[in-house]
Amino acid sequence: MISHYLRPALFVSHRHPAVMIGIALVCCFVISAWLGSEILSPVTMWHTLNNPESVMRTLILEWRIPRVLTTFCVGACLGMAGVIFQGVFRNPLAEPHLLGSASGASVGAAIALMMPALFPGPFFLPIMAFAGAWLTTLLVVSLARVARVESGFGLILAGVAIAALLAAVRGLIMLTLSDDAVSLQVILSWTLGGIQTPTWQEFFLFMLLTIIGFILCHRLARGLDILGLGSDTARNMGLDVTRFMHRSVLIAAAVTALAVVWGGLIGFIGLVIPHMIRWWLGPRHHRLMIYSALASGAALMVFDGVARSIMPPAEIPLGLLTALLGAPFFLFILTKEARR
Amino acid sequence: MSTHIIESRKIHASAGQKLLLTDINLSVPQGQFVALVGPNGAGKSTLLKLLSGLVYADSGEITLSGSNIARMKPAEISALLSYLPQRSEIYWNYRVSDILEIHSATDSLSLTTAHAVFSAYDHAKAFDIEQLIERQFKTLSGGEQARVLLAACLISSPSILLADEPAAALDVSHQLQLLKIIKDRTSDGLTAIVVMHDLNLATRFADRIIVLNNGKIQMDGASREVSLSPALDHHFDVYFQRLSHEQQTILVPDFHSARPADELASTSKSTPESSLIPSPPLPETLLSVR
Repeated sequence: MISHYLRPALFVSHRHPAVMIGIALVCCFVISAWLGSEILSPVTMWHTLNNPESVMRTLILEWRIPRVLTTFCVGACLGMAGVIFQGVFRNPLAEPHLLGSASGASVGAAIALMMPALFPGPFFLPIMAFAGAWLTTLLVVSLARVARVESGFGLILAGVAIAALLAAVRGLIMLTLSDDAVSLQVILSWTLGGIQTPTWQEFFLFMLLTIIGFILCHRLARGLDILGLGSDTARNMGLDVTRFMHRSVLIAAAVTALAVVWGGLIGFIGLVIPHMIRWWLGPRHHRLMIYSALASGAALMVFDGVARSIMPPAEIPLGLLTALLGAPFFLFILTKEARR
Repeated sequence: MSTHIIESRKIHASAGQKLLLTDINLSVPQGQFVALVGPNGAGKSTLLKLLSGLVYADSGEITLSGSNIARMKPAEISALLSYLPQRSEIYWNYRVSDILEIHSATDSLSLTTAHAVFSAYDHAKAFDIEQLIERQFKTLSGGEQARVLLAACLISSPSILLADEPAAALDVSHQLQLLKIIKDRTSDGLTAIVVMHDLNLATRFADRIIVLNNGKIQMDGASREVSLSPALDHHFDVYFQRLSHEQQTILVPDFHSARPADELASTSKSTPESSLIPSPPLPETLLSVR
């Protein structure tokens, strides 16, 4: 009898998602740490890590591992932002890149990078990125609302239009304000998507912010579940829909800004991974949030490893690689939605 | 303190220049099954949304259990009242168990506890939708979806149910099943205001019928009284033949008669040619009370 009652609860665990995502995380971490401009065999890697005198060991521990972990956090932030945007707007195409949030964050970050003297200090860049992401998302949503197209492709069209405008603004800022102190090449590669390699202290700060972001995002899960039942039902169930949407967009913009500050513009991860998790585990948001964050982080670790190792010593911009996978998937979702 | 669980006083509501509801005064005691009927565009759905706090009136006051709805928090209204919308807006591919669990859980953490699962399964059993629990909502038939949505609405044991045409698009058997569930719950203290289009079902199940037309309450009374009143014909712009069978009044639209509005127009024009096609004779087993 009890087993009958608990069948739905056990339904997911039949597929052992926690175990599977755990194995995937470990595998992706090892692969990403293994890949790079110099690919060592597992035996050499083992010997290198056990040799305290090795330069390669220092390189792996001080450079590659923090970078891989940072990549995981960037992916997790993008996955969470994708889940929130899709849930809030009930639009399967919504994600930070397509809604223009990431472009807004990049413009904010570009201003901060080009004019560091404006507000000297370590928090100027993340604050500007957050402000850019938030204001852009509000602008896109308002435009879609005015045009009464917020629930369909119109939202995405508004996002793409604003993203194109912001790309031009970013280009202008870079051309007019760049000087010897700021390398255009660095900013350009950052806008194409590329993970910053932090020190361990910087990584721990980023990880802390990501964990706070995760807690805030996961607290939205019930609201997103309720919103999926329809606005009227959500209101009747005690959800202040307008306030919830504003809060959700604010939090999604914050985690998008975090991802942009450390990873530049990386598209489609926030679109593809939440969809795959939804197909695997269903649409309930508390599960979706956790597993999308973990799976997005795991996937981005592998992408970053590939980006580092294809054309050594150069790196392929990470944003280009994710777009190669994401764009066909976007078209797939687009045609699927058009048939609905 | 008032004994009425729902009260509205001098409610006026409009959308832009269009007046939707005028001078709505309503008092509903606990445990009453009220059928809200009227022609399309009469303002039934608007009134239901006003009573559930989803939209606000231009003027007037609505109280739920003695509290002014305008001053109640969404969570307070939610604890008291369940609203079943006319059309399901469920977006994601939720399973039936998901929908029941989301309705039964009170916070984010309890979603994963056995409590929500137990509650969902117990409730599914009570509503005879146990066999649907693992299915995706969107794959269900209209009747199954209606039963699931009603079960979800009642899972938190609200004091008030406001349902907007829950029986629409259902076959007769499912209509009866659904309304019987609501009727049974009203015996246990649930107050239900249900928008209905089938006057016979309204007469059969409701304790009271409110007829809304042109944004005003035109008739309000016990089901049998309202269904027997000739004024009903004018509000629906159709003549009904009233048949009595086993103490039930059955309303049959008289397709052979002119519409009351046409008749009125022809009378005012004094057209001598206007003629009424006589109604066919009623079966002898039934007694016309018209």
